[in-house]
Amino acid sequence: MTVHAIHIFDRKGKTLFTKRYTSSKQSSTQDAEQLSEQRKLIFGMLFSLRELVGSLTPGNGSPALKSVRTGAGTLHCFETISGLRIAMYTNNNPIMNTIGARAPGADNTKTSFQTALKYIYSDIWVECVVRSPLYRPEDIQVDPVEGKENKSGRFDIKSTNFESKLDAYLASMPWFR
Amino acid sequence: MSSKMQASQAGQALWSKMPKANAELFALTYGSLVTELVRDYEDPIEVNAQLDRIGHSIGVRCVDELLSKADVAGMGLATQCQNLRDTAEVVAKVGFKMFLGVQAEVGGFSQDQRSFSIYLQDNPLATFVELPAAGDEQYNGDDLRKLKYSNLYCGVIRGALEQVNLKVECNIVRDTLKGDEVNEIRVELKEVLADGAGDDYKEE
Amino acid sequence: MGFLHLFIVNKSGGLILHRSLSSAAPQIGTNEWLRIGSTFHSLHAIAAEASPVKLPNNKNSNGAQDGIEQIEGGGVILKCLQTRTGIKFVITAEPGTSDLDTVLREIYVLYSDCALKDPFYELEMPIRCELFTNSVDSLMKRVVAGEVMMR
Repeated sequence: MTVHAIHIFDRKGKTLFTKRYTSSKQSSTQDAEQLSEQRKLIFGMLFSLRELVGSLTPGNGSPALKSVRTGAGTLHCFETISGLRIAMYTNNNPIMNTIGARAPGADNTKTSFQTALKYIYSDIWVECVVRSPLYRPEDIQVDPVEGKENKSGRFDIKSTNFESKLDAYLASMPWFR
Repeated sequence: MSSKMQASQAGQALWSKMPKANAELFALTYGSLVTELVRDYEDPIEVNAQLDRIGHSIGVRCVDELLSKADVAGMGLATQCQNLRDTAEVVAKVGFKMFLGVQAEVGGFSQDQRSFSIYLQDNPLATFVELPAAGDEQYNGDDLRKLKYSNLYCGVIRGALEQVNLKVECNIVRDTLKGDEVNEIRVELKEVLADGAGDDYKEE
Repeated sequence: MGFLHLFIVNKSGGLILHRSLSSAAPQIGTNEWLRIGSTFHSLHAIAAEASPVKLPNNKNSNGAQDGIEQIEGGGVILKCLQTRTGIKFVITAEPGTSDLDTVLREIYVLYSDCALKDPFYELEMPIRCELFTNSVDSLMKRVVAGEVMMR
């Protein structure tokens, strides 16, 4: 799989949604603790990187973080003004769609992921989650992995079809495979 | 082995690009350094230790030069060192060739693959050198045969490998100055150091 | 070609050099540079740690510790070269600048030639070698003038 994982954080750092697409060997035995630690790590990293990039950006640029590449993979980020952050891990050489491949320059790679993340936000997240009648921004049930009992009054992302729509959208992307 | 050839070729190519110095000047400068050390410290064991220290200081700098020049020249050394054997090849074929212009051979791998030897046919440091015979009046009976004239090499190898997290111990076991047919440096891997981990990061 | 800054971080995360490469670069005070240096050092390692997929033994294709290689922001691109000896060479530039990788590698060579061979330079300490900074400046001039040197 080209896409390894997706995380969505709110402005306070709480994980709103997380999904792993790679088959992790320790997925069942891996501590929920460890996973949540890793998510905190990712959020903290995004937060600090944004500050770092902000101080290094010349006056006319915007301090938004677009992508971070390591030897193992790339993290694509998208941040909204409301503080919602979507982070997607892919590997380093995704198969681009033919339009992207034909266009000159490497810019299309980034644009394509940025567009995808933007679409995920505006057309999937907003449609399914924000517009859901049960939506309460302060009280989102996190950690679908844990499968806790849904306490009354808390909004569960699972109750929307966000995940299935997300999967369908990603599956339609040529670089998902 | 193909990696051996690659290392030799890399060594040759890098050597051709390095600025050259006069070999006599090099050997004579080293010789005067050693004689000064002998005069200052008198004890040949102490002089060996000093030479090792000096070599260490040189080695930690040489390794970056080797890595950077090999990288820029597109040699792709990076992926080759899967085990100590590969490291030994790189040190001997690329390192010694690049900095000294000499062909060095590797061999004498131990059973557990944790030590090896580097063989040098000619030693550029020891051109014109002759160790005085034991009991020579001039040196107040110090046995200069305990002096390891080329101990600098040991320090260089130790320093260089330390920078890439390999702690080794080197010794000169055979020396042409002492009558052996070949110079042999024995290198033994003591431990592989763990990389310094990134600092723990606390969430704001 | 819009190169902005160059900075070099040593094995322990301390900043040993920071240099502005053009007038377009934002002014950053020394204290802030130190902070940037150590923050980047930690984040470099954390990025590899936080990734759901890791390279075997955490070593990348250079044999060095895996970590951040490139960051793209809205108005800046940051590229990092991590050497096997633990030093990080980081360069920032405006988006669309090409040849950042080559420049970084050339700077590594300059480091090994000018800084390491300076007898008064102590390893891991801030670089105060004029020869090094002059060489970096002339390298940047050559690159901007369009002749990137391929050894």
